[in-house]
Amino acid sequence: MDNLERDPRLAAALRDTYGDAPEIDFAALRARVTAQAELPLARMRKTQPRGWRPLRALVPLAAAAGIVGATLVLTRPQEKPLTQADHQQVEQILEATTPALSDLVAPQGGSDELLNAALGS
Amino acid sequence: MSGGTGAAAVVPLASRQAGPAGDDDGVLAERVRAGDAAAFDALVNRYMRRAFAVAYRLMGQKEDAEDLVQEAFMAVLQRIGTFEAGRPFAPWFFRILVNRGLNARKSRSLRAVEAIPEATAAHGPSPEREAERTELRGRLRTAMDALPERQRVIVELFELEGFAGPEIAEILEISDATVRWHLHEARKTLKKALAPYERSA
Repeated sequence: MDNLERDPRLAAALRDTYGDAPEIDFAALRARVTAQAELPLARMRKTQPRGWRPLRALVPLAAAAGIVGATLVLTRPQEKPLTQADHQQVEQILEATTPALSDLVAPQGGSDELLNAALGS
Repeated sequence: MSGGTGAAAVVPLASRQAGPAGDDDGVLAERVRAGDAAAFDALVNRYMRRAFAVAYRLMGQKEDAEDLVQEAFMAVLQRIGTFEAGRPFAPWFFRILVNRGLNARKSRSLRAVEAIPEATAAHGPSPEREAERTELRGRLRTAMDALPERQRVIVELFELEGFAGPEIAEILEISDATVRWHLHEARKTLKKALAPYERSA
């Protein structure tokens, strides 16, 4: 891809003019850089999620869901089992409101009497 | 003076992405993201020489160049969250370095050439020849100073620091074709400045 060719004469002239970068104490530079980096690196380690820590973000959500669930359970009306007295009361109500079976069966008189009864005559 | 950082500079960035005994840059960058000091030190050790050479081209002074290298590595820590895993680290790093260097140069109104000492002036050619060389250097400096900043940086990175065209394109966030065009224009200008000496040589 790089078919750009260097120009040796130009490069030589530039090098003759500017020279190469001087030698410096690279060990000292490295020590300076790494010393300055200690604090930011420590901060990065502190904020870095490890192990279960990625799930930390979900903790507030889980807590909120738990509170909502507990509230629903606690405020839900309790269904108590029916007592014997309840059963008796239900039966009494049914007896009082349900027509007798004989009333539901057609009278012996036949269809004319039924029709008359229906018409109120 | 010569041969120190300059000799190392011609190694293409791609071949530096993994040391013989070390992790590749991407792995190191990921570890740095997690705050791994050893990984950061490995990156510093891998790139500081070339970074210094480039910084020196940009700043023109040893102390300024060292400061720039240090700032660039600190900027790596600040921005490591934006580094895309799987992308090459070197162009990303040198982009930070070059951008900071250019900004610093602008803000200090510094031209790199002003502070760089005469390179090889004391090597004993005849006084006539030496006078000619001095004049040539002066003309070249003037021509380099007159180049648009981008062209100047491209010449420095390509001709002096050994970066490849695509690497420069990635560092400067421009296309390969634009790098080529700038380099072509810069060479034309510089050769015009050197023409009288080319003939005499």
